Amino acid sequence: MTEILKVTGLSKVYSGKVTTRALTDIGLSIQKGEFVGIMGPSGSGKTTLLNMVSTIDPPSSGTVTINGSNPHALKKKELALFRRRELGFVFQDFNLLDTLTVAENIVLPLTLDKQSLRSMEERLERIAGRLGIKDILNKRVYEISGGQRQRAAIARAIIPEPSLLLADEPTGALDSQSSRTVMETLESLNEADGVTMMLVTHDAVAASYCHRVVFIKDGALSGEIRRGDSRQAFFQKIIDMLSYLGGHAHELSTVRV
Amino acid sequence: MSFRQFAFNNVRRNARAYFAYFLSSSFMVMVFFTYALFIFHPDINRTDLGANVQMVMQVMEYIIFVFAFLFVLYSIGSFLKARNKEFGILTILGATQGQLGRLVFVENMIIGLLAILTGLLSGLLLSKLFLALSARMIGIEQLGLYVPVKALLLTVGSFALLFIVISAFTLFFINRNRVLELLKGSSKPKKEPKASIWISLLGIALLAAGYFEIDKSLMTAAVTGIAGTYFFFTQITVLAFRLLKRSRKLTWRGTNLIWISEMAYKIKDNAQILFMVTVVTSICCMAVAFIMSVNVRSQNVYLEDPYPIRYFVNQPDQAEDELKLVRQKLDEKGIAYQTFLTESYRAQALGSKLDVSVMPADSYQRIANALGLKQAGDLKGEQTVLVQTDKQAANNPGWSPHTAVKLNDPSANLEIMNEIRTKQEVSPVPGTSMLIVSRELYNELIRQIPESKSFWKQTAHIFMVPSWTGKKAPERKNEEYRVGLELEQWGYDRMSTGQSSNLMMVRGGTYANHEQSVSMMSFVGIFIASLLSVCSASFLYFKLHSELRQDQRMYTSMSKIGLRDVEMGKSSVIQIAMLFFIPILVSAIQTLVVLNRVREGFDLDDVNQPVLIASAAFLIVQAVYFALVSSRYIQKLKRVMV
Repeated sequence: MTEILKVTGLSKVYSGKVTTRALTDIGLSIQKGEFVGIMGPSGSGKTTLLNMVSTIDPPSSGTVTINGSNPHALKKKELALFRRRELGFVFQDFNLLDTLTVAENIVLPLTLDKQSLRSMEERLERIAGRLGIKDILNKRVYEISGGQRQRAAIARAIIPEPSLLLADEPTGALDSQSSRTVMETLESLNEADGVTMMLVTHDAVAASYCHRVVFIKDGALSGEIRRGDSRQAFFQKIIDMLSYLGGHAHELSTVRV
Repeated sequence: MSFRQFAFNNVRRNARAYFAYFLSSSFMVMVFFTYALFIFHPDINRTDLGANVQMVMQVMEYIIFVFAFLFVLYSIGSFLKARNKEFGILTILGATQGQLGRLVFVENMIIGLLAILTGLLSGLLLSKLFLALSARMIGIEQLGLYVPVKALLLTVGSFALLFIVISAFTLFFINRNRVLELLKGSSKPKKEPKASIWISLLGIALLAAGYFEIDKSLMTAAVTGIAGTYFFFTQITVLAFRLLKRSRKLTWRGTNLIWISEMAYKIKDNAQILFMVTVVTSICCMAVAFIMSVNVRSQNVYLEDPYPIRYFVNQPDQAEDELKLVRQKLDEKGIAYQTFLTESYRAQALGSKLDVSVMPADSYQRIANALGLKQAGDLKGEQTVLVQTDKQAANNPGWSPHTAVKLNDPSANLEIMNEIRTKQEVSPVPGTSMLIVSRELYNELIRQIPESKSFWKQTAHIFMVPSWTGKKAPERKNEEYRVGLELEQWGYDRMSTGQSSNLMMVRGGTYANHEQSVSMMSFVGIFIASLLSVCSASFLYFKLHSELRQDQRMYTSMSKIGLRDVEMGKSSVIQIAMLFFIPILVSAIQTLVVLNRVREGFDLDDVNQPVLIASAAFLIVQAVYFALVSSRYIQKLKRVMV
């Protein structure tokens, strides 16, 4: 198996008037085709980890290796290209452009790479069909529902065929019905198309779609559980783990604000 | 923290947002104050020109004030919109509408007060320069500095009133009933801008109608043209961008997708401003280019005129004394001259658009000797020699040697023996070409002119002054300029008081009069144009600033998915450039079209060059603003790129 993401000895210290240690000695490895969830209470360092994996924030020490290369060694200009080609992003608040149609939003990363119109149209056709958003391609963002918006954002994230898809609370702004379709979409992309994914979430239901869930508390890894055959059982294990970590189950809101 | 402190801190900590607003306001105060300084200057009425300029400046004061009013009103409007979220929070915390109103009022008054103070100070600093400049322009040696109490009071009074009235107005802007909307601010997704094909066609029809109406009625042309321009920005451009987006080949490439889509929104959002800026720039551009064309024309009139002074005799009994006075004046100044006399009569020739002057050969010989032209040669019977300029020749196409010319009143059939082409208009009677005939024929012909039509006959005393070469339009210090102006004024005074009915044409004086009014107009025009361009650039700056946060959010998320800094820069520079330069481009085209249409009506020579120069000047000023604004804006956007 190929290792897509390898994180070793990753630490992050924010210096300032008060020095904050956000992450301490994190090690993580994601193989090709894996679907990994990262969970933890607010302030645990999940987002910091994600920012470092997504090359937005440089680590204080330690290395991040994505698909065999270290993005933090790249210059800023090359870094943007790296993100464009190797990473796909799905955000809590979609980050689609209001001024573009759904189709235009999806092909945006390809147009920036100046790819040929024919290949863009082909890929758009295939992915839209795959995600069931073919009939809304010519709509504007404000005309479609939250679930559709998130699926459009997923389409935009995977259209350049990145080696790793990073999802940051993708269900955070959705109702439970839309959350389910979005998570099922991600699951099927992972299973049928072999897309490697890393999901950061608060939502135990969303996390239960993963193969394994890594827990972070106070900036350090504090456990990992793997999914067996039953998603229901996995969900229960996640809840138990969260309570064990010291949070209280009822405190875990499904919406991160 | 008291309420006033809160307002004060708001201004202090938002200094960057308020800065452009403050700067433009104080600039306006400054211009207003310098104009007022001039208007109330005690020495201003010493010359006629000064009094005229004073009147024009008074009108300008009103215009500046109206502009200042609109400007402040608009800026406050867009400020308040940008601060919706803040007002939402304050409302939730229990601030009453009265308190919000008072907050905005106090903030505005702080800014207004500062703007008035700095405007007055910089105006005082500038006043020396301004007065020196205006003194030169109106031909007074020097306008001294004085204690400008009246100007000071007028400026402070009007602008204090302006800020108070507008700050009071702003209470209506804040609608606190929609707290939720306030809190959301402008984060709601914007609807796609609508454009109707029919209204766009109407706009095009209006523009076309404006174009064809220029000849018939300037008023209708202006109204339809302006209405067409309005639809151009609200409909036609939006439609154009939407049609542009249909071509995936063009739009789905690089950053085109981002800026072409954004542009449709930005143009629609800014349509009113772009429209206003365009109309104002067009008017300015037209005025400046027109003035410049008039200037070129009056220089050409000067250059085409070979005679320094022409004195036409209508009342022979007055002529002797007046000519003596003119000679005396020239002698007093030690100016050498020769005089000669020409006779001619004005006639209409079949097939010529212009009148012709029929002149006896001996008169022409004097002209030819004085100007070094070809002689007419021996003329017998009905033989004639045609003397005309190239321009006149274009109006008499059929005339060439050995053609016959038929004259009416008194009727005669002449045969053209020869043609003499001249660069200058050598006919003493302005606007006529000449037919030279023998003295015998001339005497025969003028005998047939009835007594009641004796004004057809024109006797001209021509003064040739060797030192006034006429090769180059004279400067203000030039002798011909000064003496010419004096003689022209003297002749004009005698005619207007009824002392004389003999017309005197002074080449230098005519030119000097034109030159002075042109320079007055350009002086005023430059100030107005610079004021307007500052205003329009500030409008655009505010608009951009109020959209900054939205753009920052968009570019942050775009940069996460891999938008590079250069690509962001390219996409936003194109957008800002369009907002800044589309109005200039449109108004340059409008000016070019309009002035070319009216060119012949106003007897102008070439308008293209003046239009291009005027537009280029506007373009350069705008380019400077653009460079400043876009670099600041891009800098702010770069900060949010990850």
